[in-house]
Amino acid sequence: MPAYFSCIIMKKTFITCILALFAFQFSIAQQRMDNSIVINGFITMSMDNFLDSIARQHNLRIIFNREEIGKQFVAEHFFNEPLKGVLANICRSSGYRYWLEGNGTIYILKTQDELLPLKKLARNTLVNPVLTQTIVQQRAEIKEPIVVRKGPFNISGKVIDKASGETLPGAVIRIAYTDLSATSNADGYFTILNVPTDTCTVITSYIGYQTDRFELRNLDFKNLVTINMFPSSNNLSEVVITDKKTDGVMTTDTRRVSVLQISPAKLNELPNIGEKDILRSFQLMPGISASNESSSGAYVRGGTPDQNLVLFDGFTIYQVDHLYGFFSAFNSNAVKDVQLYKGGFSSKFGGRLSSVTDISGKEGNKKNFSLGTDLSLLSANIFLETPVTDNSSLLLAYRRSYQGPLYNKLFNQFNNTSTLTQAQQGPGGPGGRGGAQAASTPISYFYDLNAKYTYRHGEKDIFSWSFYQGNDNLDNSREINLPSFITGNGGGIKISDLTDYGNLGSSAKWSRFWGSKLYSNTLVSYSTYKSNRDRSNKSTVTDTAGFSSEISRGTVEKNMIEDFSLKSDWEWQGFNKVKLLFGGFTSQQNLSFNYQSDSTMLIDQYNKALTGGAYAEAELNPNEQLQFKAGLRSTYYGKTGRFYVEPRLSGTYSLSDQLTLKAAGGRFYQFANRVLREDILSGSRDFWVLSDGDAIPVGAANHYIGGLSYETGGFLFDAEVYYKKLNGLTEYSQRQSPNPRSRTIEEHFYNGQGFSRGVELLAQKKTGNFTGWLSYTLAEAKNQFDTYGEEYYYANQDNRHEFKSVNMYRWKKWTFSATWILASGRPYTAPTGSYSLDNMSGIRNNYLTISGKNTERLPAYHRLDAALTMDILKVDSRKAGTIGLSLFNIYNRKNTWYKEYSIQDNQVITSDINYLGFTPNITLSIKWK
Amino acid sequence: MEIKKYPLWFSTIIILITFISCEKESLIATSEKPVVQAYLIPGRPVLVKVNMQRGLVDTASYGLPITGLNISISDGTNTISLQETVNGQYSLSDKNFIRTGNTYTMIFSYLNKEVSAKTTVPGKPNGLTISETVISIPQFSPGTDTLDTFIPAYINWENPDRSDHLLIMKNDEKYPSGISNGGGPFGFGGAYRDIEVNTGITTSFEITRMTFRYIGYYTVYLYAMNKEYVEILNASNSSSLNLTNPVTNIKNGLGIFTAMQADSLRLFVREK
Repeated sequence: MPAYFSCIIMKKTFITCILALFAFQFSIAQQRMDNSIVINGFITMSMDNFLDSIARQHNLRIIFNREEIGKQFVAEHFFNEPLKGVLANICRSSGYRYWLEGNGTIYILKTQDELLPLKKLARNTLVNPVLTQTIVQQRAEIKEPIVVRKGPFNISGKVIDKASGETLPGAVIRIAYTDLSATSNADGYFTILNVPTDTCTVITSYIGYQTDRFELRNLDFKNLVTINMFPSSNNLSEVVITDKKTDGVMTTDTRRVSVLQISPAKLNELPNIGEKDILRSFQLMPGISASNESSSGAYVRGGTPDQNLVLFDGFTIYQVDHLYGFFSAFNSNAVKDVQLYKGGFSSKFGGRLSSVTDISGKEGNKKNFSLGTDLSLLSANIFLETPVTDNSSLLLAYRRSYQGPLYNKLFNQFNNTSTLTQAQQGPGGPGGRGGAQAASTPISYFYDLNAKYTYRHGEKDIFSWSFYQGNDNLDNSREINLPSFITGNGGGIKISDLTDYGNLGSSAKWSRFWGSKLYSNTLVSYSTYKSNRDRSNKSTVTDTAGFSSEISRGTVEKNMIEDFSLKSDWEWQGFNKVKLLFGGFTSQQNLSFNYQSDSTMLIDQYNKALTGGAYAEAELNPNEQLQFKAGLRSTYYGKTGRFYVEPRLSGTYSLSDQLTLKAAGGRFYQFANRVLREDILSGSRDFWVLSDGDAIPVGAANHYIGGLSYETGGFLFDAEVYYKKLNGLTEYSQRQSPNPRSRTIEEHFYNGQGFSRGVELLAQKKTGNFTGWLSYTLAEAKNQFDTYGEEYYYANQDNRHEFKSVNMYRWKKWTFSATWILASGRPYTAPTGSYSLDNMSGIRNNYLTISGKNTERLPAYHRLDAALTMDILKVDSRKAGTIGLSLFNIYNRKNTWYKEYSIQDNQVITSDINYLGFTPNITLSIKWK
Repeated sequence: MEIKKYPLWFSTIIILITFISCEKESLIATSEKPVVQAYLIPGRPVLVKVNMQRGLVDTASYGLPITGLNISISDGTNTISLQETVNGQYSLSDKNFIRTGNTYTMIFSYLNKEVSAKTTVPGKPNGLTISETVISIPQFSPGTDTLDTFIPAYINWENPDRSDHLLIMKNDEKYPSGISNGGGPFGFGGAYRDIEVNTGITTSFEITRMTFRYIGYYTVYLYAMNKEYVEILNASNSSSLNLTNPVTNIKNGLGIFTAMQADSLRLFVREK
């Protein structure tokens, strides 16, 4: 029934999409070329040289078959002729045509069939080399003669997206045939020192972009060099996610251990549940568990989601998901770059035991106004990017769910189960009386808002302000109307079941490029998290005289964190072989937790902690093969009054151009923990607490990682092994005394330790029409808590085997993708029997006995998802959007989430609570420009 | 070319994984621990019930009684063997064996293992009083504002060391008669049962118009109790996400072996 319904909705949506598409297609004008480019002068030269010349002078990318075009000769005289006219003119006279791609690349070809080979050519060759012959201009000023400069000299610059002007962090800049290279920092800046000569070629690569090559010869090194990158065009199949290296052409310097990078722009080609999802996409890579549908938080290498530090533009996000965990809270349209460090991460990061997810928000298009929207069966998403002044840009993105069939399906997935537990409350529980009718009209939704304003003051200073707010309002409240024979004049019970959680964060950042050797980034931020849960019954009784009285019972829980932070990160590059990162950080965290039962406040806690510290890390490249980072981080934690010192080390050694050995390790501390409630259905699922060094110890972890990767032009094979030892883990339970008049609540914190270890294998095909990867993880996560005994038991998140196959195939404007996940079942605890005890007043209570903690395994988890995405192209083949059909859990596998037990007629009844079945979704993304 | 190779190693890995993934199903041996239930109260005979656990699909209220055990109880100086009076129920008729302040240890052997438990008899609660010995419950009828007409009564006691107490109110009538409005928010009293309230570490209990569902004479027992009673009887578990073994103070067994001591008073409940 719901599937049928969603089909109808899908149909309707699809028709709407098609109509919109038509309207859209017709509204698009013929391709636009930059009209500001005009050509002047008397041209007499070969056509290839002419094209190279205008490409260089106007920063264009023109692709052609040099051998053929070189045979043509141009002899024309142009007076302020726009580029379009010039191209039309020279093409016409030589029997060629030109083709403008969405990313600005111009192709010169005879027939359309030549487009694909040209695109291949574009990727593999130096496109527009610097001319040996320049345009002869009439009345033109005499061009400065080219001076061949001998090195060594330094280059500094920034890497940007050609179309939007957005800076690109993490791009790799290499000097060909040398071991010189650099990675652009968070603001896109880089420095390479001691470049030997200006005849070198600079190769820049960045995920989701075409590799750029240019010669140094014509550059003015005194100023910052700007490297413009072109997004991968439609038919060029690039990898979406890449481990370690961004492109096959790259060799050594992307050597980093346990780092995953994602290109948000390409996410819509992967299957999804309802939204393209940043955090869920990481789950397709080895080492990040994919079998937990109810959490888009990352279970990294046997760690729990709260052990993963999530930073958005520098501020900490505590709540990373929407709708009980089905979606990550980050709008991919507002995200520029995401990096996930699976372990052994830099001393720049701290405060978490397992991993770091570092998200950079988009700055907004600096060149053109741009507006786009995404519609799916779950939510609507609108985003806007615009230059504000010449130096500043703005991004706004807003996403809100609507209560369509998909939202309801997911919402009920969770709430049906809570109805089950309510049914077990027996007499006295609401709704169990005859004659009473339940009417449920809840309004539930989530939304998130991103805003970012970036202002550039000169070439060297960037000021940016970033704002994020994400919220969930989950309302499962019901009203029960009582029959009038009970209340006389009618009345009712209002059962509130409200969950309201979210995050608000903002940061102001000042980045300064002090010179080629020094760069700084100073950030002040505020982040607040709230999680409120209201489960109360309000009964209203209205008497015949019209007086109504209200009785309120139930529990209200409130958890809040406020986090004020200041940090300053510095990079100093004195020599090519040494880079020093250092900085300081301080933050004040205020945390409150209230638990109110009826009108009594049972827990009213308020804690605050001041954390501060400093770090330093040296990146050393003593020779071409070896690269290592050694760092130290020291944190003072106010609640315990102690310093925590964390040494970190990571390094890579290249055995050959293809083969690299990797190793990393370090110590990590965590001061704020998210504790999970025993019974996730009867209250807040989780809340944050601050370590106090006593009941809640400061968590500590040691990581040991080793790896090996083999990379060829088209393939990447990667293997990593890890061992992680965890101390100071905390679990929580509440025991409430049942006396309704004098309630007390006891909080129990159980402490323990754990370890996880595993092997991760990845085989990836990175280029061609068919791309994808196979990944396999063999892992083990065990904990030992004294409360469960002295033995180690399998942690809840333990996954022995996990196999993932991700396949993407591009054919013209179609992308087909399919992912298949197979994972061992998670451990769980099962009853072996039951028994009864009579209390003092003779009432029988039932209990379940179990054999051991987590000794059982749920059945294996597997799931096949697929997606079909069609690019909506404008007439000039520029991509204007996509229409996607996504099928989740195609063969409707009933994967078990958990099991629930109840005792009925003294028998133990087990029911399986399953994850989502087959769920289709349709998505339309359109970008107006 | 590259693509052609892909299915080969794809399928090889699939096959490998399939083999590796075949895990052994670990079987949970049914726990054989006996279930013990004993409440030691000064002035009352000792009764220890021992049963087996029920199987998962067993529909009986209690597990099978365990017979033929040799259960002994010691107060530190004297050790006494209990007699099996009914199958699975072992008793001692001497009402004076359980005394305030003594620590009692129970031991028996089951499946060649020693099952034991220990408890200390708490002191008698002090200063038990009630503010009203007659409780008048107003008749509930729609259209009248009845909430103010009830005069609440308070049961008070002393509790200097903040120990746990249990309040049990037992209707002494042979055929208890229900209050017409039933007390509960919906009316209807349901079958009679003693009122048991775990009062925690407080020193008073407020009797409200909702407390009683039956009229007549009541004996109010205030038990000083040990922590194990609260912990054991409040433990509950229902889902694989939170399943743990219930708390027990029986070594090698399950259930409860605890001592209590009560003071009592009487009150009368009537309808206005």
